[in-house]
Formats: sequence, structure tokens, C-alpha cells
Amino acid sequence: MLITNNINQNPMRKRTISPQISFGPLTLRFITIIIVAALCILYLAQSTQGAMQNYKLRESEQIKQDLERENQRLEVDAVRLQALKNIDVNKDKKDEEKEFIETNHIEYIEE
Amino acid sequence: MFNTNSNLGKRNSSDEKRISFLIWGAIFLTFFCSYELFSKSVLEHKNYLAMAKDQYIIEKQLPSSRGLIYFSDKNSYGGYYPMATNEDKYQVLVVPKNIKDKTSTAQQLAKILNIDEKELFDAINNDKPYIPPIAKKQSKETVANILGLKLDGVMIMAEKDRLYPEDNLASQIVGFLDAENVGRYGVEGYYNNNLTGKSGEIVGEKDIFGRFISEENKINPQNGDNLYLTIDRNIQYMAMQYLNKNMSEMKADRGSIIIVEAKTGKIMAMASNPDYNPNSYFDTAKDHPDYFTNPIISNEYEPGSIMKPIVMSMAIDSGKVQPDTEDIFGGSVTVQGYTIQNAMFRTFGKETMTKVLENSDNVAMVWVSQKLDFSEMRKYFEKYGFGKITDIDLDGEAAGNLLAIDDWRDISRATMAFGQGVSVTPLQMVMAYQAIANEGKLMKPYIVDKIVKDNGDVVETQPKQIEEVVSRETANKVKDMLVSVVDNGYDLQGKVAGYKVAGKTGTAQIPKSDGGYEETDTIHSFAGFLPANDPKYVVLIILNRPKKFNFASSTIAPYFSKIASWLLNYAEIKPTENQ
Repeated sequence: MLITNNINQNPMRKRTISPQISFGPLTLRFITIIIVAALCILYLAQSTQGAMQNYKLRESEQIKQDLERENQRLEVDAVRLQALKNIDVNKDKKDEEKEFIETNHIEYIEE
Repeated sequence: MFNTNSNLGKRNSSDEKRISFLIWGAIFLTFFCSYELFSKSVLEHKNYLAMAKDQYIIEKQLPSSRGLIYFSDKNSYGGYYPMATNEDKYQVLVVPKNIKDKTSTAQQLAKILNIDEKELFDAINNDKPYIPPIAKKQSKETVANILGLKLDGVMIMAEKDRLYPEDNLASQIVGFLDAENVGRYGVEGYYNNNLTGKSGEIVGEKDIFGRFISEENKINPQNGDNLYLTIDRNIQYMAMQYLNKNMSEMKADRGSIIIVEAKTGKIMAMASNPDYNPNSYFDTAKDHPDYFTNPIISNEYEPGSIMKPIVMSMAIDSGKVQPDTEDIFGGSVTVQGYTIQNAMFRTFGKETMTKVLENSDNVAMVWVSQKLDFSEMRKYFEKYGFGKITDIDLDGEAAGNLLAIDDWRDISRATMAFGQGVSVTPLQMVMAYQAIANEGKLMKPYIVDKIVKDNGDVVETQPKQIEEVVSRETANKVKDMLVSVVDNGYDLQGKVAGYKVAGKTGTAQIPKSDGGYEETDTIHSFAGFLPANDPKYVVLIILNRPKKFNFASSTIAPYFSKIASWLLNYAEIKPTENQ
């Protein structure tokens, strides 16, 4: 037999917390409000994030369109510079020198 | 003592009335509200939905791009170079009622846009909410300068502009895009429906600044088809250079050149002078709208002696003569009272048919034509494609004029033998030579090699034989005769060192509108093909009213030689003869 130095002779067990948690209407209401609030915050966060993503997407598309437009402009500039009227280096010379230089003494490779 | 019951009875009766009134009022209000609710949410649902959508939905048109047009160019990346392309330009708009300082605005805009300040001030000195754009087709740099001024009431709007990078080169082939964005003349006109795209639309939600937040529906724009032409940019450029030089040296009013691929009917080059710059077509429209038409397909003329080999081929094909058939011919012949003479009143005496072409003998050609009956000769003309359009894919083609069979007389047959009394277009004439170069097979001329659609589908044009005009033997005999014309005849200057070329000159009188022919002015032509042993190109050059020399053998033959030499070099065709 184990003898303890227990001065409390009361046979009832000592309790530090309530033996059970009771869910009354107030608690339920409180929890419901918290859940609804959390869902609202989540929804707002998601929708805001969605809207922001849409803005970013639109911005990216705008940048893409601008770059494509700039690319087209540069291509048109390149085309303009490659026009034969611009690359015919002899065009400003006198009439007798105006032709492209003629190719003479062409040697054809035998097949 | 109070009679409480009586007072209570009265109060109860009054309360009941009030309560009853309130109940009925509440019922009425409920019905009214219910009706309004029903009316707004069901009956007028569409209207309110549309109003709501207007507040947050944005619709925007997505413009399509007009299809591009390309030259063939073996030296360019991908083998093509743009003949017509699209460029971003800008319109400058003003809202007069929003402009605070009109004098200063007019002054600053006029300086940048290089327009008259007073005219601009007059245009904006009012309180109108809209006036037409004050400037169109402005560059990005110009509008950046305007935006930098931060002027009230001045707006910039983007627009597409059509650019023809080579200016005048091939202007009468390509045509132009007018102010209403409709293609006119040439390929722009003929293929306008293909080149015009279909605009798209985007529908989405917008924020308070009108910016797109999300897309609800999008219909992508459908761009116009891209056209890849058979016209070779380098050949076109050189043909034009030689033509301009030829015209300037021979003091001609007008000139044309057309180069066709002998075996397929592909148009490799087609140039005329005068022409115009499609980038500034409106300048030409004021003074010379006739420059818009392509003389090679639209102008009819009497071709003169270049018709002789065609008539000779008819006589050979029908077995009436052979290249070595001989006879003795005088200096003139009389048909139905009309006297027909040789040029310079020459008499050639005994000649073979080959010699007849070498000497370009009118009298002998009358003799040849008389061996053919009217219907036979007309049938051959029809087979060669005279008197009807070739159906080339360009706007504004003429059919020429071939006499109806009932109108044929001995004299008309006689003059047709040397190319007078029959009107043809230069295109018909060059295609007749193409048939001889291609062993008698007449091909359909075409200018669009392939069409590439926006979805990537490709429609390629296949060469199409229209008719076997004469037999292979006949074509080869005429070909040899034409080689002899260049080697031994008047057209010696058309020779090309190291190659056999075939050709014939023509110096034709110009018919007057009131009958008869002009006294002095003539139209000179040279039609030929090269190299004669395996023809690659068929060339026709025409000069209108050259002043320096009287005959095409002096005015055009030397330039035919130069162009032929350049073409043979460009096509990397090895010489066949000793140089």
C-alpha cells in the first residue's frame, strides 16, 4: 500500500477546468460570424487578386501590342531602306554612268 | 361618474378604422411594390440589364490589317519583297470648344505640321465640338512633338496607311488604296475583296477609367490575304531603267515593256512610262488620271510588222507555205484599189519566206495572206487570243479589235498581214510570241503566284494552257525564221553575244480618229524571246512617237539586246554560241 502525504481528505477530485465544453446558441452564432467574416475576407482577397491579375494581364498585352507595333515600324523602315531606289548607288551619277556595273567575263561552272 | 364603456366603444371604432386603413394601405403598398418589382425585374429586365452593362461593360472594335502584296525577289530574305505594306500613322484632331488659347494653339500646331497658320486658326476659331482632322498620316515623331506641348483640345488618333516602298516601280501593276480604303486599279483593285480583312470585336468589363479588367467575349479580326506576285523586283527595276533610258535617248512620248516567262505565262515585269507614285496618287489624280491605267493591258494599238511572224505561222501551219518557199515580189501591190508599198519604197525581188521576214516585206506578206481564206485567218487570230481579253488577274483589261467575219474584205486581210487594221493590246501581242516560243502552246498570263490566307492556307496559281495555236513543227520553224531575222535581217542590233535570240521589229502607223493614218509619227515595237534554243523569257518593248530615228530597228533593237543580255545573265543561262 502506498501512503501519500495528502492533507486533503476530501474524496472529490480537484478540477482546474470545466469538465465539458458546451456549445450554446451564442457560441454557434459567434463561430458562424467568424466563418462568414473569414470567407468574406477570403473572397475579397481572391477577387482583388483576380482583378490585379487581370490588370497585369492587360498591361502585359498592351506592352506586347506596343512591341509588335514597334517591330512592324522597324520592319517598314528596313523595307524602305532596302528599296532599290535607295540602294542603287549609281542613281545620282551622270547619265552615262547611271547603270549598275555590268558583269563581264562570266565563267560558268561545268556540271 | 364616467361612462367609460361609451368612450372605449368610440375609441375602439376609431382604432379599427385606423388599423383597417393601415392594413389596406400596407396591402396596397405591398401590391404596388410587388408590381414595381415585377415590372423592373421581369418586364423591363432587358433595359435595366443593358443600362447596368453600359456602366461596366466595354465593347471595342479590333481592326483587321489589309493583306500585303509582294514582289518575287531571289535576293531578298524569303524570296519576296513587299510591293505594298501597311504602316502606322496618326491623325491630329482638335475640339475647338475645348481649346483655351486658339491663337497660340494654331501657331504651335502649324509650325509642327508645316501647314498654314491662318487657315488653321480659321478652322479652330469657333466652339464646335467636332471638325475634320487637321492633319492625317503623320509620323510617330511628329505626334510625339505635338503631345509634348500638352495642348488643350488636341487629340491624336492612330490610323493605318498603305505604303508602296518602291514608289513608281510597278505602280500600274499594284494600283493604290483610295481615301475610303478601297483598292483601285491593278492588283489592289482586282483583289480588293481578298485584301480586305474582317474586323473583330472584344467585349469585357471596364474600370472607372474605362480600362479593360477582363475579357468576356472576343472575336479575333481576320486579316486580308497576302498576295505573292510573279513580278520579279530586279527584272522590273532593270526593265524600267532600260525603258526610261531608251525613251529619253530616242525622244519618245510614251513607252512600255513586258517580260513573260515563256513556258508558264508568268508575268515577270510590266512597266510603262509615264507612270505615277501610288504613295501620292492624289497628286496624279488632279492632272493625269489616265496614268492610273496600265497601257499594257488597257491600250489598243495597231502593232505593225511584229504581226508578220504570226501571219506567217498561220500560212505554214495550214500548209500553204514553208520557210524555204520562194517567189518574186515587187515593190508594191494593189488590193481593191489601194496600193500597198514596202517601207522606203524598196523592192526585194526573189525571196524565201524566211527572207520575207528578214526584209519585213509588206508586199510579200500580202501574197502570203492571200493564200489563207478569211475564216481560216480569222480563226487563227482568235486562237492566238486577239479580239478577246486574256483574262489576266488585273483590273481594266481591253479586248482589242478584230473585225467580224462579215466585215472582212481583201484589203483588210492584206493590211492585217503586216499588222494594220487589227487592234491588239501589248499583252495579247507578247502572248502570241509566247505561243511561238512555247512550241505553239498559248498559256494564260497571270500575275499572282500564290495567295496566303490569314489562317495559313495557301492557294497557288498553276500555269494553264489555253490553246495549241499552231503545231510544234510550225512553231519551231517560225522560231528559226525569227532567229534568222535577228542574225541576218534589219534587226541585227538586237543580237546578243554568245546566244541565239529570236525577234522582230515593227514600225506601225498611227490611225487617226477621223480615218487614215498620221503622216509622220509612228509606234515602234520589238517582240522577241531568248535564248532561242530553249526560250526562258519573251520580251515586248514599245515606244510611242520616237523622234530620233524612223525605224524600230534603230530605236529599240539595241535596247532589246541590252535587256536580253541582262536577263540571260540574271537567269544564269550559259552561252550557247561562240562570242
